[in-house]
Amino acid sequence: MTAVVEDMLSEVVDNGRLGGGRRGGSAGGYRDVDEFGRERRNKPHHKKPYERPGRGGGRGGGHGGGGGPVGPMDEAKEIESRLSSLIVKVGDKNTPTLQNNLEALSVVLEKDYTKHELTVLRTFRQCVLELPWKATVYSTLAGLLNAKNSETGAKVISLMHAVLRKSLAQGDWGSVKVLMRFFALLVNTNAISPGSLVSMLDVFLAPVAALDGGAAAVSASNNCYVFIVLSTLLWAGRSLKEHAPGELEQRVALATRYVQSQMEVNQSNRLATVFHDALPKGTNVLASLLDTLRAVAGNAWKIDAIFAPHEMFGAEFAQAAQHELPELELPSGLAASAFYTPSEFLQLVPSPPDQAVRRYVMQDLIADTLTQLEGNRKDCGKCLMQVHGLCNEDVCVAMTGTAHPEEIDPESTLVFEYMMAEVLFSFLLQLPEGLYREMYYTSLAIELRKAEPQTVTNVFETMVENIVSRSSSIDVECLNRLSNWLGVYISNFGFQWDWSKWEHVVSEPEDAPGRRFIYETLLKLIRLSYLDRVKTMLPDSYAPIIPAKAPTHNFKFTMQAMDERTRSVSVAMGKCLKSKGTVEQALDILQEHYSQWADVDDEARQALAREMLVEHVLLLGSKTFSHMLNAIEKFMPALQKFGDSPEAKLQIAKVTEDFWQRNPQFFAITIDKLINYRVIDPATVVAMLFDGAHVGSWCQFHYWEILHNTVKKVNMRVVQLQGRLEAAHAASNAMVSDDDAAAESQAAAESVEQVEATLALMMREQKDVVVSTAAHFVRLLSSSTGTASERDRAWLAGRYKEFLRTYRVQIMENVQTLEALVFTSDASDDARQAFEDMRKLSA
Amino acid sequence: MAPAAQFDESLLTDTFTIVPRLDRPSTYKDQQYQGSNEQWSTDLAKTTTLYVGNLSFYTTEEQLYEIFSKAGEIKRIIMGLSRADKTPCGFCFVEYYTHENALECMKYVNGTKLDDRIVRTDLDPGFKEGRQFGRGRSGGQVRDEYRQEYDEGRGGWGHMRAKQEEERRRQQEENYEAIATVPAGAELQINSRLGGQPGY
Repeated sequence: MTAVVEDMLSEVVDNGRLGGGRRGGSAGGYRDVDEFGRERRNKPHHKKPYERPGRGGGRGGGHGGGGGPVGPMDEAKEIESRLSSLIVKVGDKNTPTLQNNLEALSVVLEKDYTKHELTVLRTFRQCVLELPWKATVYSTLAGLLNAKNSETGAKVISLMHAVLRKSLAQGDWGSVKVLMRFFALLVNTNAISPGSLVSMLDVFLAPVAALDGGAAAVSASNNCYVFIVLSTLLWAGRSLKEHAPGELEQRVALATRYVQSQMEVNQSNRLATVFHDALPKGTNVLASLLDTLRAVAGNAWKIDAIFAPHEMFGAEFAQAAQHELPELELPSGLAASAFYTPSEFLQLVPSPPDQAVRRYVMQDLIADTLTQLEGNRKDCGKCLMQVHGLCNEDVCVAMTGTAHPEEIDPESTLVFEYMMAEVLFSFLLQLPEGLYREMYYTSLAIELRKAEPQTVTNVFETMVENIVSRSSSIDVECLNRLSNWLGVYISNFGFQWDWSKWEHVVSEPEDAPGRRFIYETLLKLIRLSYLDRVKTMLPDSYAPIIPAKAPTHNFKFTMQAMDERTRSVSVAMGKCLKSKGTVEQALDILQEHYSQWADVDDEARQALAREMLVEHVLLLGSKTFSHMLNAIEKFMPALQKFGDSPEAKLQIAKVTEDFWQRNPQFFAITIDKLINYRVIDPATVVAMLFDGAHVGSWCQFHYWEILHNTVKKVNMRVVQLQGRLEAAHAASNAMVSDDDAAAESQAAAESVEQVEATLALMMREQKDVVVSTAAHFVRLLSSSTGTASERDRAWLAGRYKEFLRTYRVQIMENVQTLEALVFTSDASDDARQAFEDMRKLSA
Repeated sequence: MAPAAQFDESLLTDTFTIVPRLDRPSTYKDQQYQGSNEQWSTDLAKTTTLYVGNLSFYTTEEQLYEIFSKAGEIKRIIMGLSRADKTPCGFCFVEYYTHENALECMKYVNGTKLDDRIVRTDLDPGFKEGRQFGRGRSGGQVRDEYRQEYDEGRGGWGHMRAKQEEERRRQQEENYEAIATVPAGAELQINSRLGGQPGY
C-alpha cells in the first residue's frame, strides 16, 4: 500500500466511526462477543473466575464470511481487512485531503482488485447500501475505478445494477432509492450515459405514462414509483440538464402531471394527516418534493448541501468508458401495502424558510440512513451523527461539539440535530403506519441520547414539548404513539423529565388531549416500574392526576359486600381453588350451591355461577402473568363450558374488565389470553369494548390497545394459516410426483383440506371482527348517544380513522359486506367520508 | 459501450454487512445443551425464545411483559428462580409466537433499561424444564456467586463475597461483645521543650 493510503487509514481510524475501538477492520473481521453481545475484552484480568479458558472462540463471527477464530490473521486476510476498512472510511468528512484520498484509494483498489475482487465488491456494495449519506463519494470512487480500468468499472456497475434489480423484485424500496441515487450520480462520472439513466427512470414512469393524455391512476404503487423518480431526479437533474435537457423536461412534466392528479384525488383526504392544523400542501409528500425539485431546477439543478467530489476529476472522467445496463423490471404481484409510503418530514421546530432545499436534502439522507441501518440501532445512532460530515461549509451547524449550543438560532440557520430529530419523530408518527416497529424509533432515540447527552437531551425535550403543545390538533393515534415512546424513553434515563412545564394540565378536564397524554404516559411509566417510583419523580402539583393506589384487582366477593348464601359459595370456591382443587371439584361446588337457589331461574343461576367461577379463577391468577396463565389453563374446560354462547362469553369478558378495572395492563393481558385459550372470541372483545357503559370514556388508551391486540391476533392467525396452507400444498405436490409415497400423499392431501377448513374458519372470524368493529364505530358516531361530549366524540372519531387506515387491507377484502351493512344511508356523512378516504388511501 | 460484466454469483446472496446486525446470536453456548453445535445453530435460526439477563431480583413479570411486548405478542415468561429458595434470581426466558418477534426484540429491546438496569437478551434454543433454576453453588446464577461488586438490585453482595462479609461481621460482633465501658485513653507525655501544651 502506498504511504498516502497508510496516512489516510490512520486519519480515518482516528475518527473512530462505527463505534471506535478496533472496529476498523470490522468488514470481514471477527468480533469476539460475550453472551450479551458485548465486545469481549481479551485481557486476562478481565476474565471472570468462572470463565473457562478459550471459551467463546468456536462459533459465530457470522458476518464477514472471511472471519475465522482467534489467532494471527494471515497476510491476505490482513490486507483484505485493510482494503475494506479504507473503502468504508473514505470520505467521512469534507476535508481538503478528500480528493487525494479518493485518488489514492482508487489506485490501490485498481492495483489489488483482481487479487481481492470479492472483498472489494462486497464492501463496495454494502457501502452504497449502508452509508447513504456518502453517495457522492462512492459514485465518484466507482467512476475513478472505471476510468482507471473499464473492466473493473464494468464489474462494479453490473453488480450494483443486479443488486438494484434484486431489491426491486423484493420490494426493498429503501435500497432501491439509494441505488437509484447512486446511478444518478454515476452519470457525472461518465460511467453510464445520461440516456441509460433516463431509460431506468422510464421503467418507473411506465405505469404513470401508460395513459398518455388522460390522467394516470392514483395508486400506492404509482405513488411509490413517482417518489423514487423524483428522489432520483433531485440528484440527476444537473447532469441531465446538461446532456439531455429535453428528456429531463419530459420526465419532470410526466411526474408533475401525476402529482397533480394525485393532489386532486386526495385534496381533502385527512385520513392520514398527523397535524390537522398544518397546511394541506405541507402534508402531501409528493407535492412538496416536487416543489423542492422546482426550486433546485431554478438554481441550475445544483445540490449545494453536500460536497460533490466528482467535480474534481472532470478530466479523468472525460476519458472513461461507458457501460450498458440491462433492462430493469418492476415487481409484479406485490400487495398495495408492500409499496413504500413516502414519509413527510414534519416541521417541529422553526427553520429558515430560504433553506428549505438544503433542509430537504439533509433530511432525505438522514431518513435513508435511518432506514438502511435498522439492523443495528446502536451503530445507526453513531452514523446519524456523521451525516453532516460531507456538508459544504455554512450549510448547517451541529450543536454537538459547539461551545455554546444555546446561542444557535434555528430560525436563521439549519441545525443538524433538529433536522435529525424531526426525521426520527416524522418516522415515529408516520401514517398510516411506519416502516418499522415503534420500538425501533424509541431505542434509536435512546442510543442517540446516550451518545450525545449534552445536546440530544435538550433536542428531544424540545421536540416532545412542541408536539404536545399541539395536542389538540394532532391525530389521536400519533398522540398515543408519542406517549408510548415517551414512557420507554423516560424510563431509560432514570425517570427524569421536566414535568413542571406541563403543570397546567392538572386543571384541565380529564379527556382534554394534553392532560390525557400526560396521564396515559404516567400510566405507562407505572407499568414499566411501579407507582411509588413514579410518584417520587413528580411535582406535588401532580397529585390530582396520579392514581391514589398501586394497580390492583377488584375482587367482587369480599366479605362485607355479600349476602349469606353468596358468601358460602365464595368461601367454598376460595378454599377449593386455594388448596389446588380440581376443575371437577370447583364445578361440583357451584352445582351444589346454586341448585338450591330455588327463587332464581336457570338462566340467572347460570350467570351467577359463571361470575363466581370467573372471579375466583382470576383471583387465583392475580399474582403474576404466569399465575394468570396457569389459572386460565387449568380451568379452561370449566370456563369454556360456562362460555357456551356469545352472551355468556360477553359476561366473562365484562367480569374480567370489572375485576381488573384498576389495572388496565392486566385487563389487556387477560383478555388477550382468554382469546388464545378460546374461552372468548375476538367478536366478544369487540362487543365488550363498544359497550354502552364506555360512552364518555373513549379517551382511554387501553380500550384501543385491546382492540389492536385482538384484530392483529386474528390477522396473524390468517397469515400463519395461509403460510401453512402453502407448505401443505407444496408437500402434497412433492409427494404426488413421487410414486413410492402414494400413501403418504394421501395423508398430506388430508392435511391440506384440514388447513383449508381452519383457514376458512379464521377468515370468517376476521370478517366478523372487521365488520362488527366498523359497524360499532359507525353506529356510535352516527348517533347522538354514542358519545358524551364534543371531546368524547373527537376521541372516538380519531380511533375510527385509526381503525380504517390500519386495517384497510382487511376492510377492502370485505368491502361489499361493509357497503351493504354498515356504510348505508343511515351512517353519518363524516363516517362515510372517512370510509371513502380510506378507499382512496388503499387504491 | 462495453457489455455487462460477470461477477461472482455469491455477491447476490451473501449476508455480509458492514454494520453488524443486532439480531444475530452471540457466541455463547449453553454448556448443558444436549446436542451438537450444528443443532444449536439450527435451533437458534428458528427459535421464538430469548434468554434475558441482568434483571433486578425485584423486577416483576408484568414489567417484563410491558417492555418485551413492544417487539410482539408474548406467549409466556419463565422467571429464573434460585434453586435454594425459589425466588427470582435475576434472569428469565421470554417466549414469543414468532421467530421474527424474537429477532425484533434483539434489535430493539436488547440493551435498553428496565428498572434502571440494562436488559441483556440472547437468542435461546428454547426452554426446557429445569432451566428456570440458577446454576450457582448457592442456588442463584453463577455470575452472582463470584460477583465482587455490591448490587442493590441483585441481593447486595455476590454469594461468596456475602459469605466473607458475613464472616467479618460475625468476627466483629464477637470481638466487640466483651467491651462494656469506653476506655479513657492514655494521657500524652508532653516534652515541654517541643512546645506542647500539657494536657493537650
